[in-house]
Amino acid sequence: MPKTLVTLHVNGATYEVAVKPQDTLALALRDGCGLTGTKIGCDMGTCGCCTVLVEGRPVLSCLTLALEAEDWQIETIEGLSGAERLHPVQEAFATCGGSQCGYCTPGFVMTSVALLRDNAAPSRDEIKAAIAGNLCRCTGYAKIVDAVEKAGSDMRSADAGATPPTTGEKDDAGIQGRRQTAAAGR
Amino acid sequence: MMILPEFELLRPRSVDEAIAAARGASGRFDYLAGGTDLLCNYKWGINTEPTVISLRHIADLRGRDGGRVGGGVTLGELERDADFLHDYPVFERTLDRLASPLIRQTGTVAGNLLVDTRCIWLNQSEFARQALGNCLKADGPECRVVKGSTDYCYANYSGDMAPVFMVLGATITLAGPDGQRTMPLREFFVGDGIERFVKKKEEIVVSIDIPSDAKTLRASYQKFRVREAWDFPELAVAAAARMDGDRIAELFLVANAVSTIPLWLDDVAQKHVGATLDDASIEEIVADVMKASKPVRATLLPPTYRKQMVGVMTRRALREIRGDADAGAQPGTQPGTQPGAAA
Repeated sequence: MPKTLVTLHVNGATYEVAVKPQDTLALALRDGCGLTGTKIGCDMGTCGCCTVLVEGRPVLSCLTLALEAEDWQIETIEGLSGAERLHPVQEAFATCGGSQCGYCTPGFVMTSVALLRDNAAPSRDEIKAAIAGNLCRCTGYAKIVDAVEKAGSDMRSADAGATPPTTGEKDDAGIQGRRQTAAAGR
Repeated sequence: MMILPEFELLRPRSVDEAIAAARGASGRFDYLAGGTDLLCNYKWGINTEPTVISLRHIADLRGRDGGRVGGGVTLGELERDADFLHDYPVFERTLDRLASPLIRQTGTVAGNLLVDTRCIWLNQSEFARQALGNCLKADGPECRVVKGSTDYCYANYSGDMAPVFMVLGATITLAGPDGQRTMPLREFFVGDGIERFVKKKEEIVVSIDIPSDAKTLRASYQKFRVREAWDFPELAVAAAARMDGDRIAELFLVANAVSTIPLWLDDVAQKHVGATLDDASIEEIVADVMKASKPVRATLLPPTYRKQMVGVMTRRALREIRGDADAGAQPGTQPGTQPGAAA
């Protein structure tokens, strides 16, 4: 089947990519746009590694055809922040240990960013519900939930003009406090 | 990485264009809506076609008006539709337990109704299927679940929306080369795991219509699955009732994912109209629903266990309808998935 030129709008830039009809958006982003931050895991929609934002909503790029994505506004992990600094969600994942091997992390981060744009102060249950389609085989999820919670807190502080808590201070104490509460509960 | 087979992708802008494209493909095509089921099957090499017709760009299939839900409405859109969930609250839990949040962003209502039947022999890689011996549904001579069956496929119906729409009395509207037709959804599903429904291949699901009197039904959908997100049902029960005081004035029951189609249990439901919804009556209904459900080994868990869990889910559904605070137990959590762990 011949290739077709498709125009993809990714992270505010426009890419012209030659794709076959059966090429997925994940493939076009990685091979066509050179945006390899989007990972391909199961390639069957079960792991969420390939999550990107389409019109602000998290979408599985492994189950989206590239030709269908023409004219959509797409955000990938590369577009979250400039080259010099991390997005608060990425920062929180690093701070809280929400990433180990790191392969699933771009998917988790994109899902979390979409959640925090909709709901600036999600509860832990809401966070768990939002990331239910993303799989991590390393962390056991607790630190990921911690990270999303911390990111939400940091972003709210920044929006309010307050200085975000520095690494290892207020929020780490909060996380430690929760762990102690959980331990006491057992 | 899973490789999709080569196909031609057509992107019509109207229902008529889509039907014309389908006629031009001489039966060798598939419609693509959200793609979350079809593309997985294509990646597995299951019954692929040389032409794929995307319905994603047809505006007429989108949108909701009262109880009328367009076939192209995504499950995520429905999940965020506060007015719809207010009118039909049973969908809040149904959608919460349907696939994963990521799948729901692109998966559509019609796509979930028409989700292909599934089977532990079928939903494997092409290599694995060939090694196991192909089955009746895909390139093989006989069903691997029920040995010797050469004319009946036992693959499991695995959609979640259909049973709920059915107990609410919804109708389905199809558009095809001969125009539109509307029928009760409960008459839509027929046949084995290959035939599945009465829809002709060229026909498109335009909408699902829930009657306005369904707003006064008390309804519940109880789903049992292995993974608490993403997973297809190992079994499920949908129930709806209209109560007259403490007596059942109307009762509608569907046992789901225990057969090739969602089982419309009208005889069981009619038998119990007029009964009070007390514990003894509930146990009688539970026994009847279990008796009518005959799961086979097409899914991960053993049929005997799934049949037992049909009873558990029926009991929970009826207790939720009765208004028991702890009836649904979950949300999102399941009893143990091992035999003996359920209560």
